[in-house]
Order: sequence, then structure tokens, then C-alpha cells
Amino acid sequence: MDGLGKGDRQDFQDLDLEGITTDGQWIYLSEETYQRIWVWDPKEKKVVREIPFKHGGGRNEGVESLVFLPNSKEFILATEKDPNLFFKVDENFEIIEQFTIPGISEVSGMTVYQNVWYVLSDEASTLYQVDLGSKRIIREWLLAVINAEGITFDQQGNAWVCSDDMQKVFQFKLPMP
Amino acid sequence: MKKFVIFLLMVTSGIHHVQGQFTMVSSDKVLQISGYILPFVNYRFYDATETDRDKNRVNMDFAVIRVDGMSGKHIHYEIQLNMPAIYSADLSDEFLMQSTIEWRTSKDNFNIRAGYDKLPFSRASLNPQTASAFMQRPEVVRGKTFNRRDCGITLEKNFFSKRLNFYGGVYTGQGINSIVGDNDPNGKFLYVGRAEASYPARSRFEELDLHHFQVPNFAVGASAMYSEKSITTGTDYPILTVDGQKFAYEWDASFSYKGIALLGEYVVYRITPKDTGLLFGKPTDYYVANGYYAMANYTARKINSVFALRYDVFNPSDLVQFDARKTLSIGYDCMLDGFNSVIKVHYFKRLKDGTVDPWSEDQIRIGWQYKF
Repeated sequence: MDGLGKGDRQDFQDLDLEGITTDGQWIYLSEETYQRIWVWDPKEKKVVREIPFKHGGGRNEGVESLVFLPNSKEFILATEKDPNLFFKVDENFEIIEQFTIPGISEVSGMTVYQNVWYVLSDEASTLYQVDLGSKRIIREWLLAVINAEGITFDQQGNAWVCSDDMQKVFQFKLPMP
Repeated sequence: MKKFVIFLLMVTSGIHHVQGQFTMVSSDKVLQISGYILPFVNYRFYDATETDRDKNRVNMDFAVIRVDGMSGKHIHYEIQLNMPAIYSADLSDEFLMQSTIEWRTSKDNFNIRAGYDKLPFSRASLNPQTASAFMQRPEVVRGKTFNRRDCGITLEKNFFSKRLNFYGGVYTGQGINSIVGDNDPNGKFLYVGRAEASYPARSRFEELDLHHFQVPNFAVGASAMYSEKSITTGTDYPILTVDGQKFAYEWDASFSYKGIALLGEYVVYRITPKDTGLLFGKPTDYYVANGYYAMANYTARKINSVFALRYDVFNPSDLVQFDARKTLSIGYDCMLDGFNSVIKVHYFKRLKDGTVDPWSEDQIRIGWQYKF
């Protein structure tokens, strides 16, 4: 992977990579099956840390997504489902807090945009805006996408959602009050 | 109705979410333990003159432990055991439900699976019963007309992110007797092939639209199987294995959108028996057993409920008139925690074929399915 994202295929072959985020220096990847977090140095193009993050849930329901919180320099990790759990961790991936969010039972992706936390659910075909302090859903949008697996925003505030099963990327302009 | 909805909300709000499977990880080895339990009560509406009412009972058909794992990314294995089958006098009740080793490519677009497993025939057979609104499959594919599981080797190839799938396999053809027993005297195998396509996303062998797809999703499939055996078996219909030739084919279709799921399947068994007694003296060397089902269901997420309706027909022989087994099924599922913990209600209304009385009694079955 180079500074902007290209890497050797063989570096990631046979891995069940589900989530990706960056703190500006490193790229963090969640490996679902083996329940590990990989820390990638994009300049040196190599893994610099491999952090076990075992939670004991289903084999295909591990850490599905992770996101860096720029303000607090912490991360949030989410397991997919059965159970769907959120973990706030520090920069060493030590757990600070474990919690659930009422109304969300499955997670496929997360992002932070303009310091606001967004959670994507593939099974609910829904994007949630969540208040990190109260752990409550602020608003939600139904998305006409099957198997929505990843979410990010561009500088214009458009949401970009990728679908695994449909092999497409969708752009949404989310209605805000 | 309002009281009923309030009752459902009260019941479901007090249930904690089920912890799903448990996984152990060591180096590149992963082992997962899961399973499900399904006790149920069954009540048949017997005729007043009936003296044998033994089907009115509380049963435990399924108490399944599933162990599946990976050794590296390419080797997958799975064992499923159904504990109550140990106590069953019916030898067709399977204690071993699955025992497979699979080699899979990194892209998961091709695999070879060997062992005891479901045949790639019939969507209703391939759909897990735990993911169904009902507690029993349609008569035409519920395991009385072909061995749903067998020992063999299955190849699977998929394209376009699993939107186009092909399956092919060769099996002993003896069903449960294949596990440790010999083949029948002629030593021939059973062959199965299946093709399926879906759009705009892959189809995941789900009978319900629990997720409320916001985009309509379609799937179609077709399967065929052929066997030539020397022993006829089958407790209800003499076509489980056939002394002679058995050629079966089916096609199926499904649709799901915003909680609504529609499914249908048509199945044909063309039997060429050596025992001409099965031909009833008709001028033919074969007969046809066939049937179909059509199903519609709706998942009402706000009240944690699934409502389902199914009509199924099975005609054991086209040489016999007015012997079709027709059933109208009405299903209701109260989801305590999705389909991990669900109360299932299945009412079977048996229908007349022409003027002939229904082939069995109406019945109601209520069960609690709990997955762990």
C-alpha cells in the first residue's frame, strides 16, 4: 500500500479484512476471522504491529469496523452482530469502554465526518448518526443498497457507500434538517 | 389487535440479545461452536372416531451442535450433530447432519467439498429450516422423495460476486446409509447439478426478508439429479431410492423487497421402476411424481413478527388419480431476538383432492427455536 492506498496484493491475500481507518500516520485494518488489528505503515509499506483483539463471538461476526476519533485520539471498534458490541479503545487498543447502542443490532461500517459519528448497518440498510456521548441515535437514513459494507463522506458532504454483493459504490446526498 | 401488538412488544422488549456463536482462535486455526434447540408441541385435529392419536405430542426434533472451523484460509470443515436422533426408532432420522471438509480459493469463487452434506437440489431443501417461517418443508422436498443429504463430493463455482453459481456433485446415493454402509449391489452413483442466478445481489438461501431489502432482489435456480439403483426405499413414497432409474429436476424462483418475500418451486421425479407393479398395468415403463409450492411472507419488524402463507402440492404418481397431497400452511413467528430466538407457529390445513377426503389431519405445531 502506498501513501494513497495502493499495495501489493500478496500482502493482504488470505486475510478477511473488514474495516479500515487512519490516524494520519498509520493505517489500521481489522481482520475479522482471526480477530486481529493490523497497523500498516504506508511509507515503509509494511505491517508494524499486529494486535489481537479477541472477543469470542462468531467467526464471521468479529471486528467488522473501526474508526479513529481525531479529537480524543481514541478508536471505536464494532463487532458485526450476535452480539453487536462497540468498544472504545485507546491508541494501544486497550479497552476503555464497552457499550451497545439501542436500536442498532448489526454494524457493517463506521466513519467520522466533521466530528460526527456515523454507523452503517448492512442488514438494516440504514445509516445512523449517533451521539457518542449519550450513545443514542440522532437520526437515520434508509439506503436503497443491498449489503452496504463501507461508508465515507467527501468534502461536499456526500455519503459514499459501497456494496459488497452488488459490487457498486453509491453516492447519497443525505437530507439534513 | 392492539392488545395483541402491545403484548408482543412487552414480551419482546424484555428479552436480552442472544450471544451467537463462540469462536476460538489460535495462530491460523479458528474453531466455532454454535447450534440450536427446537422443542415443539404438535396437535392434530383428529376425527372423533380416531382411536390412535399418537401425533398429539411434545417433541424435540432438533438439538443440534455445530462445530465448524478453518485451518488456514483454504481448509474449512464442519460437523453438525442432532442429539435427539440418538433416541429415534426411525433410522432415517439423522444424528450426523453434516460432516464436510472443504478446500476454498482465496477469492471464495471455487470450492471442493467432500463428506456428508446436503445435495445441491431444490431451493427449499437448501434453505436452512432454522431460517424458515415454517417448521416443516413442503411435502415434495421434505426428505421423503429424495435423500436430502448424502456422502459425496461437491464442486461449486461462482461468478460475479456469487450472483451466478454452479454446483455439481457425485454421491453414493444411499442417503444416511452412505455414512458407513456399502453402496447398493449395482455400485452406481447419484449425480446432481444445480445452477442459480440472482440480481442485483447474491441470494443467500434465505426464505424471509428479515433485513427489508430496499432494492428488489430476484433469484432463479434449476437443479437435476440422476440415479440408477437396485433397491427401492421410502417409507411414505417408494422413490427415496428406486430399483430402476430415477431422474429428477426442479426450478425455483424467489423475490424479496421491503420485508416481502415470495418463493416458488416446481419439482418432477421421473421414475422408471423395474417393479412393474408400480405402473398399475398401464402401457408405460415410467411414472411421474411431481409437485410444487408457492409461498409468501412478510416480516413486520416493528412488531417483531413474520406472517407467512404457503400452498404446496405433491402427487406421488401420475398413474393414480385423486391422490395428491395438498396443504395450505399458515405461519406466524414471534421474534424474541430476531431468528436467534423465535416462537414459531405452523398451522397445516390439509385440502381435498377433487372429492376425495384430505390425505391427513389438520394440525398445529408451536415451537421455540433458540440458536446459540
